[in-house]
Amino acid sequence: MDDLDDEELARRARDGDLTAYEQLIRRYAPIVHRTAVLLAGADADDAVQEAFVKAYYALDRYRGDGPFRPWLLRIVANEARNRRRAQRRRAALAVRLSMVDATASSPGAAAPSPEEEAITTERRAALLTAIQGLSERDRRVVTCRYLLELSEADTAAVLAVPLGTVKSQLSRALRRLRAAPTLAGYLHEQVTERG
Amino acid sequence: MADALERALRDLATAVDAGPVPDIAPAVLTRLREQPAAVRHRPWLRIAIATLVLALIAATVPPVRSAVASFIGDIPGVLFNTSQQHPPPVPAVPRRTDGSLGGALGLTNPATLQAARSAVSIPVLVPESLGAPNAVYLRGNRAVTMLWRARAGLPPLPGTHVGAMIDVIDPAAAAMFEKLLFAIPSQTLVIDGHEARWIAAPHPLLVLDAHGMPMQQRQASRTLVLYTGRVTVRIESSLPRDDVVRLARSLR
Repeated sequence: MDDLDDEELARRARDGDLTAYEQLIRRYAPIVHRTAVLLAGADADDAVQEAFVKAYYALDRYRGDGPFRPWLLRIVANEARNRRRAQRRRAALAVRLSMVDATASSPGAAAPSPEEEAITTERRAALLTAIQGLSERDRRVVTCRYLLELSEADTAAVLAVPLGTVKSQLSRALRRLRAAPTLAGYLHEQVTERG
Repeated sequence: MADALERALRDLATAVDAGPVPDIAPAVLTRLREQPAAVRHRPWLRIAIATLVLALIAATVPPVRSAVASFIGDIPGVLFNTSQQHPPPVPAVPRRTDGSLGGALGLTNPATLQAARSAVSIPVLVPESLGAPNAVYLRGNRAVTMLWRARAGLPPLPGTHVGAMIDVIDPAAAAMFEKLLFAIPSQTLVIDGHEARWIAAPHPLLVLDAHGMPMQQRQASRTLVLYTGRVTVRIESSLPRDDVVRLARSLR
């Protein structure tokens, strides 16, 4: 069953094949979990389970006329939004920032110095704080496009807004981030010498 | 070329750690298996076949849909179905391209507003802010449908030239419409003391016959449904909520 594509698994699951649905769950658990954590915060685990249950019952409406992933993530985004609305105060995102990964920089470059590592870590924390300070609408579109690395088209599908709206919301959100006080000093163009 | 902020965002994406992915499948599958197999596997198909068989034996079959659907709200004339099951396939509303305003919405039985008022026993409310409707249609004696042409400030419903569609429904008659709202959020509002329901997203709409069985379906745009105590009003448009509420408050 590993080599069946999403649309075929969805078709079998729609006909009642729970083994096929299990395969879809395992295939999509990582991105659904990440989406729920970034959009729902503390209620992520509930949101993930609920989203997969609702998605199963909604399979009747998934006709394979679009990719499965944004269809599924839209259900997750809805769950996340419903849960955040039920929260009385906005909970902090429950994410960790991993340490700088030296191998992620360009090949052949020297490893970053301790000072560079410290600055990168600070910048990441400041940027995350600035994103959390955005309005719900701005935060969601930045999260989908950059933190979940969805295309603009997928972002539009997941947030159920037109593509043009995604573009304009993104440019406005980025403008606000650039002006955020917490990011002052971290966003200048960097020229580094290597080698 | 990406600027410093976009590069910083892409870098942040690599560093954000959402934590270990829990093993979700067992809990989800347990919940799915808890539902009896008959509910999971296309219940409507089985019920439809059973109904057909019984009908052939000339037994009386009452409508079974209320047993499996899940309705919210209490506005007469319109059903809000949030259940997860998919209702039986019904034909799409037949769209006509005959130049009539209601053609794209499959509306038949055009009438003048005056004639419509005589045909039904309910007050046919018209929003003062829109002025007189451009087209009026009768739906038996259960409802009157009024259409306003799209214009500046009143964008069209997709695929039509209609800017606003208002159904005035007899609350004493059998329900006219069923809205399928699974995974579609809706809000309960109180407008001038009257209960209303606002559905901000497009959703499937079933048109029901006099026995409550769906006969046609189409995709509806955002809708406000309001019960005044004497009549139920369904307002469909592309307008945002506050504009529709203002419109509803101008109903006379």
